[in-house]
Amino acid sequence: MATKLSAAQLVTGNAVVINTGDELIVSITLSNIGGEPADKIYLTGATLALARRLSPQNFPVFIGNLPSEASSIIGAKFASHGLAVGQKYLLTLRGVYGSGAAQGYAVSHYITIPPAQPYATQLLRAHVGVSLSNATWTYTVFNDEPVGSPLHIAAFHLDIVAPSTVTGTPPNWQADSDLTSYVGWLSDAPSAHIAPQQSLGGFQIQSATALSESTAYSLISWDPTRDQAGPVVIDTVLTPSRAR
Amino acid sequence: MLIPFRKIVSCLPALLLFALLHAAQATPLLTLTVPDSVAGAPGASITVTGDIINRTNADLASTDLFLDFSHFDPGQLSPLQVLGLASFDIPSFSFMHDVALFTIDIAPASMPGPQPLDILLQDVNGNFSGLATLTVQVQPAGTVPEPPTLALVLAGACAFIRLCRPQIRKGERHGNQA
Repeated sequence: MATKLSAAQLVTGNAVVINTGDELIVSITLSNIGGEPADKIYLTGATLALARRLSPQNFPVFIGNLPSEASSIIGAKFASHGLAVGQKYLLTLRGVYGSGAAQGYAVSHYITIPPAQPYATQLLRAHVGVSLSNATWTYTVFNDEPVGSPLHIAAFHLDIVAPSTVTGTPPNWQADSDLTSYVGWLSDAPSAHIAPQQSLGGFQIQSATALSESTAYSLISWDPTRDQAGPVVIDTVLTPSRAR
Repeated sequence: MLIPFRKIVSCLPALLLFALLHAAQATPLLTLTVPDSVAGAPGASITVTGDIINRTNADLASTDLFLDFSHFDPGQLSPLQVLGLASFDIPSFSFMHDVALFTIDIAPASMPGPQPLDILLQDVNGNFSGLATLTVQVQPAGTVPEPPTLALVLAGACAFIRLCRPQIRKGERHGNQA
């Protein structure tokens, strides 16, 4: 039975796909073509056929509010292994939106795997892991650069969306936070920088909420051979959840 | 007042054009037809088939079509597009009948009752169908789904034949005796 689109209706738009050879970086438009706004949109799942998802590592991810006829860009990363260049694979995004009893949505889009080519700018190979316990989020930063790389990690910036307290900082690192929107850890001692193939734990925050959602983080490298900042990596990791 | 026949004939092309334009505005270029309802028990996975009409003036491959699901309870239902996993084409101004569109996984802890789900079909060129609504009738756990009518008719016919066969043999024996 066909009806008019009076309520919020989420659909996919253009997709941009970059194949670095190891990773598939997908950016796709999520649009609301309905007559009513779609508020509090969360992403709770992203799949590309059977490819291993690299990012987001965890859900939910808050997308935001989409008024009628508005759009947002959703990004995801998948391992390229097993995906054939020129072939089409089904990308599926699912989630919820709305206040109170949240409505479900699931949108799909076939994307074509482009030929592999290096990413336009150099990216830092690094990631952040998190462990949760008793409303405490403890982060470990991993430098995945190959041995011999000059890139050492010197700063860790974390977006937060709930009031939080910094309860852990590694030795020779300093924390800075407004306790509501960001936490930054910085090491000004080169000996404390995280070297390639090394990791450092002890970055810790606490919050009154026990729920989590994924928010953005960035890791900034320092190149001691050139005595200047190097490439960064931006991804998402679990932090205390905003009020729903 | 009577309108002269020649005047009506001269207006006919304009009237036809108006009617065609009106029809084009009223009907989406893509049409999706799904059943009004399907039934399944908690934990079941149901494959839903339907019809697609392509009036977009462009040939479409099955992977040019995307399904958007909305207005469902994500704790009860999990829909997933399967359209495009089998490769086929829908030439412009043609249709595809009874094609596998999507599956619906019913959560194992789902409560019995109706669960609505809205489906929209879009193509790679930005055309959309009208919104289709499907109701998933979640049956109580352990309920055996009702068999289709044809299966019931066949089962009845088989039972009837089995009942009749001994009587025929008896008849034959009677005939031999006579």
